[in-house]
Amino acid sequence: MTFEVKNGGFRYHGEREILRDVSFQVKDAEILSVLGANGAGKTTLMKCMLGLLRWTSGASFLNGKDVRTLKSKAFWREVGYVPQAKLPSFVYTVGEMVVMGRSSHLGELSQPGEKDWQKVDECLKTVGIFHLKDKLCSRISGGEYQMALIARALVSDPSLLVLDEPESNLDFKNQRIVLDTISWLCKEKGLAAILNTHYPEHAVEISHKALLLFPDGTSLAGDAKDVIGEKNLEKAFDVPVRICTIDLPEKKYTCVLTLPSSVQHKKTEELYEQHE
Amino acid sequence: METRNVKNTIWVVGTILVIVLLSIVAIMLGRYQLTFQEIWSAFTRTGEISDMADNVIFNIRLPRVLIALLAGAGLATAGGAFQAVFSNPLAAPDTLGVATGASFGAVLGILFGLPSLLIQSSALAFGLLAVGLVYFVGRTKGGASPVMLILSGIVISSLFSALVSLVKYSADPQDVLPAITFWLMGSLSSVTRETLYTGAPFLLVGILLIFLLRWKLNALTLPQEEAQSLGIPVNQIRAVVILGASMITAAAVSMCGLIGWVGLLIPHIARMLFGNNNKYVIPASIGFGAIFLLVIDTVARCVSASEIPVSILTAIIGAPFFILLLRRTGGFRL
Repeated sequence: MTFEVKNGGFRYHGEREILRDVSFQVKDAEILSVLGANGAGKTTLMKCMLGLLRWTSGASFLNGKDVRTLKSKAFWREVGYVPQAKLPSFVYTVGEMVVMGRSSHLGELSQPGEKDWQKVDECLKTVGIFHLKDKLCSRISGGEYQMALIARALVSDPSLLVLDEPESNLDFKNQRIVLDTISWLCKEKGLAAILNTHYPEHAVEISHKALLLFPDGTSLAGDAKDVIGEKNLEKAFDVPVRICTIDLPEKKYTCVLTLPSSVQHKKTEELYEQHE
Repeated sequence: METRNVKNTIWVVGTILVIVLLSIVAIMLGRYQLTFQEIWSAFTRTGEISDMADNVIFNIRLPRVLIALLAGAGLATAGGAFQAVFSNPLAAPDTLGVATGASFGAVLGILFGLPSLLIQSSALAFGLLAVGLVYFVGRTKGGASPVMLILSGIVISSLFSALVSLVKYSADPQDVLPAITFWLMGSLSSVTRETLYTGAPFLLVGILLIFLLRWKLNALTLPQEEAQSLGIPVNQIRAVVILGASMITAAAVSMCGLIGWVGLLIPHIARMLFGNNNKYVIPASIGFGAIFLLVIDTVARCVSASEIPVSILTAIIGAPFFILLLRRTGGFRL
């Protein structure tokens, strides 16, 4: 499986470009992290590459074929999407929620059968929440709900997982669980993954590739270690950044530190001057 | 899974039995009392039966019972479907202005003194016209979003309700206005076999469409893009479900006027008992809706010398029942 975006660009009608000339590629067992400030277009990029929004220029390709030419069901059998965790207005049990992921394998009038429920059990075990199958989604923790959504993406047997800020709003331990699960899926099952994240450390740690979105709509893609550097991060997030390495016996870990920003103060002062 | 299947079977069989039993009781009751013997011989075509009894059963009671069952099942199904499509527990069959449109059609027919069949057709036509208008107004690029549909539904609905007021204003207060007012409160008193033949096909097709798509309704309650990412043609399915629910509502209003509450009450009762999974909510709504309206209508025609409008009873009986259930089950699942 290869998934590729070539020269993708996007703008809402009559507005400035949000994404400009974005290109990247992921293959089996590879993880790509997408980083960028709030409003830089991370979620927009995700929607565009999945065909939920239309690219204004460029295109995305699955196994070399333009995504727009693929049948929707065929595409969503290959790609599992994990949205930002939000409870719907009608709450279902974890099992009912996860089995919806089988839709891409079912006809419009058919309902999940024995085989589909077996798949659900299997995927719930994979992400370690099988014991919650009959619980309501509103009665489990945020971390557990996130795992349920990952399980829902997995039941369609995809070869690519796309996750929108999977570890946001979670505590340390649950962040760990989510990250470890994604890593494990890629290493053991050979899945590719693309994820949006606000944590450069996570990107360095689990991903092979990184894509950094800058406020002006341009982007930088490449090996995670090359892309996530002090200069690039400062440009993308508009704050001073220091990167340090912690040498632990088993592995080297990267820490990303932001410093108090003088940039922000200066901007406010400039604004006042303009008013006077 | 096993125990669940057994439980489901018991519910389905039980509900069907209750429907049959209540239908027989409803045919027996009324100003012209019938015995079970007479009904039995009328249906099996054995034994002696008076022409009078035969006439009452096949031309009056049976059509009325069938319409009550169908309209109740239909309105509850349409309510459940609209609630899912708009992922809003407060949606009801008249959310998109179908009921108001159909009322206008009927009221207009009554004003011009049309025969009942034409009144019914006019109601059906205006009901479907209303939802067509709503779709046209609420359509944006790439399909109609639920919020836009609800908004344009409110607009079209208030437009038609103004037109209904206009008709009432210009109607003769001696005889036409009371007829209109009574019709608007909902009643099955004027139904005949022809009413059934004209309305039932729309109701049945609508119910069938929603029944077949019931599991997909779950996905429709998710945010649009999330549902799309499951590989579901969201816009198409939503359009089909709205069409089905609108056919049901327009047909129900055209047969028995405005009947409130059923579409809101029954699906929620189903949810309290079986959870939010529409795979169970829709069949349960069909069964409970049929039972509920049959009981209400039978009470409406038997309890006093003159018939009580159905909408009054649905609220008077429905509200306490709903409150009781709310207390007993601790509300629906949030």
